[in-house]
Amino acid sequence: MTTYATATGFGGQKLAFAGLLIIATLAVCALFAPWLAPADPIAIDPLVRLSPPSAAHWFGTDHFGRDTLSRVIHGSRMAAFIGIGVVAIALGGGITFGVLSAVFPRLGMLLMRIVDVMMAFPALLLALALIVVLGRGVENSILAIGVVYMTTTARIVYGVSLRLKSEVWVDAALAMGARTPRIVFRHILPNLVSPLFVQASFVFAFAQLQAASLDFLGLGVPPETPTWGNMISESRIYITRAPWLLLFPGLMIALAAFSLNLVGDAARDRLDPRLQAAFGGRSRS
Amino acid sequence: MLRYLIRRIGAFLPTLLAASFLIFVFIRLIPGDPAAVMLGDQATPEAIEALRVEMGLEESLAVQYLRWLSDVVRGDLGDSIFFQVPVLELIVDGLETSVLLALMTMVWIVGFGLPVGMVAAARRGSWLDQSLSGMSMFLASVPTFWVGLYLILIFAAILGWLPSSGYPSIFGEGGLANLRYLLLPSIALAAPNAALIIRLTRASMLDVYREDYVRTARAKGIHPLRVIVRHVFRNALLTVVSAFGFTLAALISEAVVTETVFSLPGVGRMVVQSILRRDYPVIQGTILMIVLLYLAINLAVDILYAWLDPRVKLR
Amino acid sequence: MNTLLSVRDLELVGHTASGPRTLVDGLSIAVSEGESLALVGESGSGKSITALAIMGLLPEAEVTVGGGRIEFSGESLLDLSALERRRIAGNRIAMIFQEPMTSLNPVMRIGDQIVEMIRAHERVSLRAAMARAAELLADVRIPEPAMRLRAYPHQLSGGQRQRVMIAIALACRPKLLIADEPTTALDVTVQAQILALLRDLQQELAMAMLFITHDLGVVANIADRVAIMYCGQLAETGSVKEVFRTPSHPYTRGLLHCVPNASAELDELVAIPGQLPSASESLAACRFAPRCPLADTICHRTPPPTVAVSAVHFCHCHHAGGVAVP
Repeated sequence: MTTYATATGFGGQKLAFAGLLIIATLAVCALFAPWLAPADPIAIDPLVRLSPPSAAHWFGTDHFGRDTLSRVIHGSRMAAFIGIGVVAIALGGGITFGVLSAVFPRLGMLLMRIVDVMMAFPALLLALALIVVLGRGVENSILAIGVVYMTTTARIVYGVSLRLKSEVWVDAALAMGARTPRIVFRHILPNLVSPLFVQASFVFAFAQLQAASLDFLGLGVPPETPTWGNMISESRIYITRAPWLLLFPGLMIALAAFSLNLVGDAARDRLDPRLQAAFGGRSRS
Repeated sequence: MLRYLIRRIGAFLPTLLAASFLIFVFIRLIPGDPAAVMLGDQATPEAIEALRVEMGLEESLAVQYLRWLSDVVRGDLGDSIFFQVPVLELIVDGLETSVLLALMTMVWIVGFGLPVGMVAAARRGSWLDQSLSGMSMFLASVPTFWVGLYLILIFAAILGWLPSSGYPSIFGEGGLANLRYLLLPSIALAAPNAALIIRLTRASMLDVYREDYVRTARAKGIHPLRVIVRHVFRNALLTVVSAFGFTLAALISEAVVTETVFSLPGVGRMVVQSILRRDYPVIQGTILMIVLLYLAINLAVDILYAWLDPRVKLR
Repeated sequence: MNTLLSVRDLELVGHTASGPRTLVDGLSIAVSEGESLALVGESGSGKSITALAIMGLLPEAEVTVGGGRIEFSGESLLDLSALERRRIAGNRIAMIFQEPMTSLNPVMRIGDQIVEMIRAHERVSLRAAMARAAELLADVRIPEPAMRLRAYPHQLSGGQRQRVMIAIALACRPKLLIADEPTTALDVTVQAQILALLRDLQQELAMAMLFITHDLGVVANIADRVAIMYCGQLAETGSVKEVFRTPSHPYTRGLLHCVPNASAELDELVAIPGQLPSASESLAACRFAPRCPLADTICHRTPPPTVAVSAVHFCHCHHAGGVAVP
């Protein structure tokens, strides 16, 4: 949802830079996981079950004796994969439906009503309903969460496109005989880049939290895959014996979402004020 | 005001109907015969055939929907495959927990988020403001179930102050003292949402403080606290209330997870368990109920907003 | 006549990202009891923040008092505690602002906003205060005052809102009313009505007024005396009659020459060459020199002397002629 957008942030440049730094670190983890991880993330070692952090296992080991650090590093792969997938679906669908709705008002009425109805479902609930139909799995998690944020994205794209369409220079382009596709590609899409960057950051952040929730509920990525959500889900019953097990994957989820939100916030604050309204809804303006 | 109400309700009903249609259709999207899906793996062919007739599967989708809808309106949401009792009964059982959890969470969000946001705005730029803002930003990014698990570890397992799971009804043995079972869940659930309200309150207070009418109020020579409360806060509240809808959506999503973490017998956990058990009638019924409640509360928030802002009534 | 308000050598400093800058430099003005003084200047000349300084409403993070005194009824306002200043603000010095559309709290009823002022300074019952509020609305010529008490600001027109602002300002019968461009945002016909109302009320209540404007046409209409500011400094001050008849400062002359009719506004004037220097260029000279047709070397080197054109007319210019006041 766009809750973040309604809360104007503080700080700015420095925090956004810190956010970018964290994101870059996570991206490196995701790209080079097999080389960075000290151990095989799925290698079982019954002799060191639930061992606390030590020189051999910095983040300790889980109930199968698997190295938590290696699993956390490998978890960043799935986090990145899901994030990218969700953003691709949300933005791809959102741009298509949003722009079409703005260009063809009749179709727009219908599509935006559908979006309204889908937004009548709280995010996780809609994702759960989709999982019921699709079944669990990596791709289905991505698809379900992607569809959820496609609705908000479509609404933002629709709002911005309508505004652009009504602006004088698009009228001028029409008067000079420009065709609809040309207006879309030359005048509307380029101006969507910065608002969509903001939206992509927020969607990426929320995807992390939603995917982790699905994993935790046992309805997301299959349990044998090391994701941060799965790690927390599996280790929860050992929380009193090995509280460190949950610490690192949880921190990773929080760090990922936090840094993406920082970047999104800073980018939104630098947006054209007229476009910021698209993220604020009724609350501002 | 009346005209505004009518317009808002006029927008609410079609959305609810359309949402109910989606919920009706999604069961039919599951691969397999809908009647067999609804009855589960153990169903006899006779029972499936009987349900096929009852659901009117031979007829058009529109007829099926209207039939289903008229059942729903009369309170018939079908029977649970797992429990073999009417779905409505299960939902009603779960509502006490869920509603009390939501109310308690709102108490934390409002009782903690608004004042902290006000203080941050009043001390704008100070170390207090910076640390509050930074902390709230981080809290808003933390998964609720993770917070919940550590709350259980600290306050239930280590300190032993509060129960870690379950919730016996306040109408049974123990009475109101049973609310302590909801203390940790509501705190876990409130944390990220209170963080958003803090940020929002702070930002809108600072916005309003620059308004001309605040200068007018200060020119009256009234006490600064009165300026803050009657003029700044009262107007900043409008922004905060209009964001309650978003907060609520986040809260319902996270309640599903939180109820699972704390094994609370609420509607949210029932959704998850029914999905795991493939108890489709319950999934359908609970989702419908949650959407209905969500839309109704959103409507209430809009009405609250109209009541707080005299300008809405004319529009 | 007794001096009610006296501002002496006031210096206001603005704090910007690029460092401090002097916004008001050595300003001295005085308002006698029951008198109306117009403070005239272009936007950015420092007239509005002077008013805020008198009210004690300066945005402290951005503007501070660098020096000088502000005395009201013999009390030094800048030496008072915040509490003591609040007893004066609203009660004995009241202020109305430029933007009637945004100067009233949108979610509070008109009556409550007037009552708030009354009850801030006097111990009266809510009922009595409401009755007074209705009288005040009648005083500012709002029809059906008792009903209007229950209205919200958005239900009133701009002119009516400014009348409400005046009613609030007059609620405690202040000795001094500061009006900061109260008619600028209004339609021309409404402007005339509000001006007439202010003039009438000022005389009825024997109240002093500090009227801030950039509209010379308004000055002739409403003020006894006029003080013309240029770039944070006083250029010329005197009775309206004398200043208009024998303007002695080149800036004033420029202004008056450019008044094609009585209601022309300074902002529209193009005949004075050049533009306002930024206040940060702290000049050890006459600030008007760069735009002045009479400027010579002395103008660029030494601050102008105060020259008495007559007993009630002073000018700050090297070339004014007349008697220099030490």
